[in-house]
Amino acid sequence: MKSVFYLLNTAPYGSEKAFGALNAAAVSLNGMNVTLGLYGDGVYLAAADQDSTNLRMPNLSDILYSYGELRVLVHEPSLIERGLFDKTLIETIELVDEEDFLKEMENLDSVILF
Amino acid sequence: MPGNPNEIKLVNNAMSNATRRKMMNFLLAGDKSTEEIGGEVGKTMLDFHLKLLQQASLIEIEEGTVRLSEYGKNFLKEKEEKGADKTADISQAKPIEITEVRQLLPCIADSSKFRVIANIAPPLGGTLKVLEPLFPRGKYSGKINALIIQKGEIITTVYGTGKVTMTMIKNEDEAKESLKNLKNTINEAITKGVAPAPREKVRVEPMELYKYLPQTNCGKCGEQSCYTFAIKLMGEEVTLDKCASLKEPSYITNFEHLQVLSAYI
Repeated sequence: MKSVFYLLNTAPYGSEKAFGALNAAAVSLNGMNVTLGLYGDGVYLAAADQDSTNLRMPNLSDILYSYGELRVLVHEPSLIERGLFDKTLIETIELVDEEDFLKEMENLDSVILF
Repeated sequence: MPGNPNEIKLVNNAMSNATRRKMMNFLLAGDKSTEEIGGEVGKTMLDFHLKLLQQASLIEIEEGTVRLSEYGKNFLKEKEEKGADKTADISQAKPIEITEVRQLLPCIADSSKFRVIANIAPPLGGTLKVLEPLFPRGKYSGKINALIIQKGEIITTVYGTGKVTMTMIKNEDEAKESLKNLKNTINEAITKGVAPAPREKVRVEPMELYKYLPQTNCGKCGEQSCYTFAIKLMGEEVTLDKCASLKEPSYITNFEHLQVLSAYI
């Protein structure tokens, strides 16, 4: 089975990139081994209790919850830099060190950057 | 004592690494020499890890002996107390309500079906674990603090934070119906206030079911082979009475065996 790593390093809601990455990851679940990596500002996507009602955008954390089988890796140093380390995060994510994050990226067939 | 944002950042940074967390837990047992710590967690980058912990004032190093600082001890104690919240006590739990059914997203395996996300309040937290035996095909995952329940095709995941997701839903009405059933089952247990007795874990495999089937591949049940029938039996897509041969007197013991086994599916 082909494996793909979607790398998101843009904050959600400001643009459609996070939404796009999530959708791409969700459709690839059927037939590919998918990992979504959150890096840099992308880690904001891992925060729990997102509310996008006033933005008139779909709630992205709901998409993460709905596709619970999607493997989501969160770059821990990025999370710490943004002061999110002690905040409540979505349960389905995995926190990884810099080293493991890179290892995962290298091990998969292709990396797609959003 | 860390208090300002920069110092908190140092602490977070120090505790963000698995090796350093292991070191802190190791030190809980008492003062250790650097060699002892190296033996426990590995010698790679040991000095670096120690330095980061020391900078965050979590530990004190004196002539090769490492000990937890007062702050470090309190820090670990606080963490422990936070974790203790998760212990389950069903008599403290309040009946739940479904507050919201939110998003319908297409399923991956079958695009004619939907995935639903809903909220329940108040969140069940650690109580979820004791609710596991309520559901014949329920499984509690401690890692994500969620209860995963399979019923027919539908997989429902209830998270400790109050989120509920369901897959393979036909329409919104079916979602509401399933959620109502879920709510009633959970509330019934909560009203009783007694944790259901843990279920005996028996893992049934399709091969085991197949062993007791006639293995004639007669096709009367509409399946290609007895093994296919066994797999569908596992998925609760067929029932035992579909198999005509099992009703024959020579298969009576097999039928009984299968009835017992299918109770554990």
